[in-house]
Amino acid sequence: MVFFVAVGTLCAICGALAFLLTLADRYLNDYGLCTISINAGERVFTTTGGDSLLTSLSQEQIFIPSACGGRGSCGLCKLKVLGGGGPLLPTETPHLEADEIKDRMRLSCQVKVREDMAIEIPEALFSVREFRACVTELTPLTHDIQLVRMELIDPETIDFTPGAYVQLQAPEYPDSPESVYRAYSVASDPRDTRHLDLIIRRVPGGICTTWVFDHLTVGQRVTFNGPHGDFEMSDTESEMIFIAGGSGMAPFLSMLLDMVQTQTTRPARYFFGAVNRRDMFYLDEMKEFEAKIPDFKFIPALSNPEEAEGWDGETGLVTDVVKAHYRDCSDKEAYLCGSPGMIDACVKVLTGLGMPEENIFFDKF
Amino acid sequence: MKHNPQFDETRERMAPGQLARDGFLGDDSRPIPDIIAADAAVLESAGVLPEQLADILDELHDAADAAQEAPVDLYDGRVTVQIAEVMGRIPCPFACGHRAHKACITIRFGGQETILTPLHAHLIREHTFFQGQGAPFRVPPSVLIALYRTARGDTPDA
Amino acid sequence: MLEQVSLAAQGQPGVLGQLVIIFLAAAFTDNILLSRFLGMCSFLAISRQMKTSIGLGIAVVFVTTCTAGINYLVHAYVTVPLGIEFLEYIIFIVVIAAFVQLVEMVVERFSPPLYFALGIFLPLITVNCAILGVSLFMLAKQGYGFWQSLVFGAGSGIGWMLAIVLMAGIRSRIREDKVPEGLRGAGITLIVSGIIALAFVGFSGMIKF
Repeated sequence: MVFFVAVGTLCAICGALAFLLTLADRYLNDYGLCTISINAGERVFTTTGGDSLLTSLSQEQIFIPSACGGRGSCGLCKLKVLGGGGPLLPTETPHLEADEIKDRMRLSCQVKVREDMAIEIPEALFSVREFRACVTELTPLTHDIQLVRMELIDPETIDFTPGAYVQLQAPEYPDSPESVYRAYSVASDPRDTRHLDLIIRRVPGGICTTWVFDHLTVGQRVTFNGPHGDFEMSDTESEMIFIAGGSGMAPFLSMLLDMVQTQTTRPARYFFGAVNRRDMFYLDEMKEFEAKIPDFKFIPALSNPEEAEGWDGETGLVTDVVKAHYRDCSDKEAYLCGSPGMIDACVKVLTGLGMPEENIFFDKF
Repeated sequence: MKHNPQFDETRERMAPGQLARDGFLGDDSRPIPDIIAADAAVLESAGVLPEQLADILDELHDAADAAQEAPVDLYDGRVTVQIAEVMGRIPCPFACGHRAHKACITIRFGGQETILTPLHAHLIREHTFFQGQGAPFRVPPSVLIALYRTARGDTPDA
Repeated sequence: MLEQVSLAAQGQPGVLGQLVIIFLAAAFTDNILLSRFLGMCSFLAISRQMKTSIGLGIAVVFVTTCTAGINYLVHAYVTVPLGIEFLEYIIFIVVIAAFVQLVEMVVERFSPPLYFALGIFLPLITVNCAILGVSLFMLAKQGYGFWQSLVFGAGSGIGWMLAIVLMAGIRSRIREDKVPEGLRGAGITLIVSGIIALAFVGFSGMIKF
């Protein structure tokens, strides 16, 4: 008898306490409706408090760049919080420089919406949307580079400038318990608003590329947001020097497809650097571009060609090939897509040839 | 003995799928300070500082960068290094604010081949962290000490 | 009120006087941390910084006071009438755990920096043996009613807070001093606690129980 009384009492007490905690949770974690004002009232919306600023904004279809999905490890979701953000948290300080903190920059994934807030974000983010698409083609281009072609489902069309990038979401899969976002430049024709092409290179141990290469299949649905970035062709008539290798070709493919449509007479030269023949791809497509675009030349360069391949094109580092090709670049513009090492080397060569630094454009990934 | 909660979040960030597909700890269940201490002991008995190892890695990285993905021979041909570029940065799992560039650096010396990333140099220099046992990208201190000795010409290739 | 004072003047404590005595005893002569050495874990870790020590101290005071009161009520009206005193260990821990959860929610809502600064040590209040100790000591002192238990809890909590704030102050002063390598951190803190405990023994003549 005592046994039942004992067990019963214990359960009753535990139950009562659990009920009490649920009530407290509902009351304490209910921050009510909060108004968020963006860019001094340019856009204002209300949301229920309790979520991170990043989440609240994305629910309002405003997508702040984030590679880690809001876990506070990438530091990309910075924005200015003018009021209502509460005190700076220790989870934010590793990602913020002293002058950023002074400027009232915060990590939007760590700031919780508890009251009315006023924030500032770059204008371009207003036109960023989230898209659902269906993979229609997965074509290997080299041993470690793949073309991913997709058809948009919702929204059905995308509007972007050649050179833009999107953030592709890699969902959870057996080796990866949480989803992440990774940025890839768009490679498709901007006039083909129903489709999107990405050129992706496998990264050993990479979360997203492992998913793309080992788990993604044709017909599968994917999510991405964009378009992002301000890497685009300028509106001058100066000669454009494109330099990229491997998957860096993506933004230039988009630009070249656009140039085919506009039939621009603006001169353009694309220097494609690779180590040996097996890293080359789309050589035939580039020849077609040379034929269809009034003033375009494709100059591939191999730095370490193998004897047996019989390569009769340029050899050496792509930066050396560029140097040999030009005497004076002071009236030209350069567009670079690649790793920091490659970009540094190119900038050195180009400025050495007289190109002003403000004429050199690259995407700071 | 209660575990040190200071490293709980670091351990979470080092789990597979958070920052890197395979994570930084492999199947090592030791607390992070223990992992660091064990590897530091190896360095001490060899008389090598973590900064010295990190310096070699940085020298190799810079040389490989300049060669733009082609293989490069350094230190009188004793070491060959090649880099495969990747765009993007990876934050340090210790949340110290450092964001290392991503790249795949292959180093060949003394008949062996090692693959690591720019983050390795930072983890070794600032945190004396060589990753847990079983982590696919762990490069044990013994290997890097051998690389250091080969590069500096202290001992003939083993 | 006057009655109490006159009673006190006659050497008998009276109800209010008794409560004051219980409070002072719990805070000083029978200090839960310095006399009974309970609750050392968070004490050693959090006493590094004055601000967080005060924050944690206040949280502990709140938890000890409320749980002492609630556990007394549970003891008086549930476990004793039903004859299940043997369950008190479990029930007290459950009550403490629920209360700490509540405190966590309140701290997170009203002071996020304190919440992050305390980190794991806020939920660790649950297994802080000082809290359970307070509830069990209160029962051991037969004759304590509801108010006495409440005051005992408050006094113990404030005694704990007093100890951690004292330690934080001392640690900030010896921060620049040359402490031997092996004693840095927990070692010197324990030695200092021992010295403070010795000092608190001096309070033992203060209250005639």
